[in-house]
Amino acid sequence: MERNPMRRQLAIMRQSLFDQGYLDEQFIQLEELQDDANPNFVEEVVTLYYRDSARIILNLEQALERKPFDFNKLDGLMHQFKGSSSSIGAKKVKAESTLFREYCKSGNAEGCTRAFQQLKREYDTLKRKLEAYFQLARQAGPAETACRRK
Amino acid sequence: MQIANSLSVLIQQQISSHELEHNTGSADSTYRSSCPKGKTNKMANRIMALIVDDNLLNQRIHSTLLNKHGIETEVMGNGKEAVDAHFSGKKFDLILMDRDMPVMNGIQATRKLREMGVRSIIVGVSSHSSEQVKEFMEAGLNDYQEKPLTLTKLTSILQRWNLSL
Repeated sequence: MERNPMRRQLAIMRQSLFDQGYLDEQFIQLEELQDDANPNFVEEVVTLYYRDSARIILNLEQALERKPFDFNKLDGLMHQFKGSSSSIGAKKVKAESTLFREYCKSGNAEGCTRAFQQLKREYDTLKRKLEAYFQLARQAGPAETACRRK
Repeated sequence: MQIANSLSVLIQQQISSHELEHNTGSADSTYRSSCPKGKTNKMANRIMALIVDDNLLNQRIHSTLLNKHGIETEVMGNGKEAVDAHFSGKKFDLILMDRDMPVMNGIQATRKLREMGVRSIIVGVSSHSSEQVKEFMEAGLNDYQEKPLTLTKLTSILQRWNLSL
């Protein structure tokens, strides 16, 4: 069956996202909510995340252009961003958010700038990986279909 | 550790006061307690939940979580919308209240709802430190769960507050 190798590839890709620390248990919680009533739930939620978080990242970029930094505002924005990232299980992104907030609390402007750059790298990397994952998932199709066609 | 223990005590006190109210047959809980599980009175068994959260992602996730438990949901984006809805006569069995929201936050909204006499189960959902949770609990929450909510956390809430179908 053609789809089996794809589903195997999909499973390997999925596992590597966890093994390499990109995703945590919360992603599995989202997968458990996916069912016949919500067949594309995980992808929908992740899409919503990228839409919502893009807005926050833009706000952070604008806030980081104003000197001196308003650390309270930056921390507040990052709190929102971290919350959203936690909701999809974005483990590395969440860790970078935490680091950024620590720099905010200690008033370390250079630390904030560095942490933000690193956070954006992790954010973009995860986005690419998840896009590839969902694209493969769409190509692989639902697992049950292959069995029924026999 | 001390703060975590204080929080446990607060939650236990809330449970005890709810059980007392439940046993005296308060209007909000009577129809639930009188319908045993598995019976066909669907209207009486239907649980309505309100999700109060400004984050679209959490609105979606928490709605789906609750729907999976057979609970109908309504969503509002801030505390004021929740308060206004109750002023206009809406009632819910369960309210999931986020802490940080624009216009009116979860602490203010919870306090206001309790002042209005709302006796729904209000569960605070947030990602704050234990100190800040205490302030939230004292506003009138029945319970508190850290974000993100999971199926396990929600199940424990529903069982603790007798909201399972």
